[in-house]
Amino acid sequence: MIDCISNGRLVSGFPVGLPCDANVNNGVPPSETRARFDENLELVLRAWSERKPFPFNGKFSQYGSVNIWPRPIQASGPAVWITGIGNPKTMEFCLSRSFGFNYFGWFGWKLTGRRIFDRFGSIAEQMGKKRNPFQIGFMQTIAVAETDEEAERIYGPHIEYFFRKALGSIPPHRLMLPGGIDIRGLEFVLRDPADFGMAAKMRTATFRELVDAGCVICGSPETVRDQLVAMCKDFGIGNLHAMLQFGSLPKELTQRNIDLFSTRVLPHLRPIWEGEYDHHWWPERLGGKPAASEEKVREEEAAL
Amino acid sequence: MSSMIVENLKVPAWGGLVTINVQVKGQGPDLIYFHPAAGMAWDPFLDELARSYRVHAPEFPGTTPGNPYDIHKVDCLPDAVLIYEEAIRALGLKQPLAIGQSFGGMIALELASSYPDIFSRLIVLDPIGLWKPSHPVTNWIEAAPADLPKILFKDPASSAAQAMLAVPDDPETAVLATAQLIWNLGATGKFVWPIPEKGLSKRLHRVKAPVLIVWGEDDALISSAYAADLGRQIAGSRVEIVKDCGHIPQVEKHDDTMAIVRPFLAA
Repeated sequence: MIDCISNGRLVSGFPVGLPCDANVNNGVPPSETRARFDENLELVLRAWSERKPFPFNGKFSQYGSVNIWPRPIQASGPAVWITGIGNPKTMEFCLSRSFGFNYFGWFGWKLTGRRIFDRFGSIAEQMGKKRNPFQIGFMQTIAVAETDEEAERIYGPHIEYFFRKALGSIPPHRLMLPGGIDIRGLEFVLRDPADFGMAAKMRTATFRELVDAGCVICGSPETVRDQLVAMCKDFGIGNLHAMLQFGSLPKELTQRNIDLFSTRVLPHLRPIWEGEYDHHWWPERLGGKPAASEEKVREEEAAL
Repeated sequence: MSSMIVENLKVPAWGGLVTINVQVKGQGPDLIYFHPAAGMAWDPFLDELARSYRVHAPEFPGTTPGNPYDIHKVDCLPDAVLIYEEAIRALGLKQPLAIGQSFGGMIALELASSYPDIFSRLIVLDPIGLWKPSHPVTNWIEAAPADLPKILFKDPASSAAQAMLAVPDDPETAVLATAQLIWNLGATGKFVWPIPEKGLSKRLHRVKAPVLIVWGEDDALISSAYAADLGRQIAGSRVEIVKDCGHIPQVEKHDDTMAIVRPFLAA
């Protein structure tokens, strides 16, 4: 429906979500979360592509006749993005299915970015996949004012509010309920918890600590621009999800943040990968190269 | 001495999809032990039983180190009950004695309800499986690790509790043990999330074996208020409350529990 209303401009993200959502609030056993996600994703993708009604006999849900209406406008369905926190399995999944890989910078890109994107790169290499920055999405909290001093003064309290009261108030054991994280992943994070960056300190983190870790990029347009350009180039990021409202930030400041970001920062980001790569994970109407079907991407890869 | 070495038997079940590892130790009449949610571990209670009985301890699918993904082959509690019944038959056990602790107590009661002739006598130690709105069962699966000792023990500082809670000194061994423990809680938790009550109460009238219900008086995970309820629902059962004791009486009050358990098994 959204694809129709927007005339083929839908980009679809499929996050597994936090344990609070599926497990605590909705009673799904943590060890079933992933399997249910996988099953439901297949159901959605099949419903988009099948031309006739079909029966779906899943382990978790059964439908005698799946028949969605209206159908998506985009010929091969809206682009699919999967959100990961660093689990190599999720990266392999995105690469093998040619889905976009989306990563959230809440834990501090200066602490986690190098690890996560190097891991993605080496997995792509192992799998023989050509790396395309447009397959990577990155969500970053951003705060722009005229000067660094002003940015700290007007955004500082709202930034602290957001990180302390939102992510920082979820105890670590609630983020990883038993059964929700694969045993190999558990061993990995217990050996080396650095993928979680600032998570353990977030509840009491100060503005300065949050800025130093990269949880937020905050300052004058020049400060913000320089950091974002360096980060996108360095990590090979082709899609930036700029989070310009956070926590208690009121409407007027949010609008100001959006204005300054879009007029003084964004123009420097747009050209970064222009002309070097095709964007297969973006609607054609917005300049993407035909939301390549999985088969098509495989054909292209085979030809290379 | 050889009888005090643990043998690991690999028992195929569920049409070959699942392999149940059964730890076996001791000499004497057959006894089957159903471990709690955290997985199988030998403790002084089981070691002492192994001096008089041949103790068979099947590991719940997914909780065997090196074989974590068997849990994905078990979709629901009735599947687990069938798998255990297959394993018991494959082991050739004929009406063994049975003991189940906590989650394992629920499994044992499910088996005794589904197959009334499967056990000769059954002891359950602080079993889960029932629900009283007046005494909600503590959700141990989502508890903070730091809170677990006081959920499990009346006196977490006691030497018995400390021995059970000890983390290995070697960092890599500790990582593997902790990951396995968390995984085990997830694997067993699949069948009791988010409320550990899956209709056992409806089935208990089918139990035929003599049942001894042992409960730590100060159990903070599932209140000893459940003991009498469970006793009422199983005809001919007996309830014993262990004083000054939490959720794991055989560890926290080893001697007292042994004094209750031994005569019942020998009867």
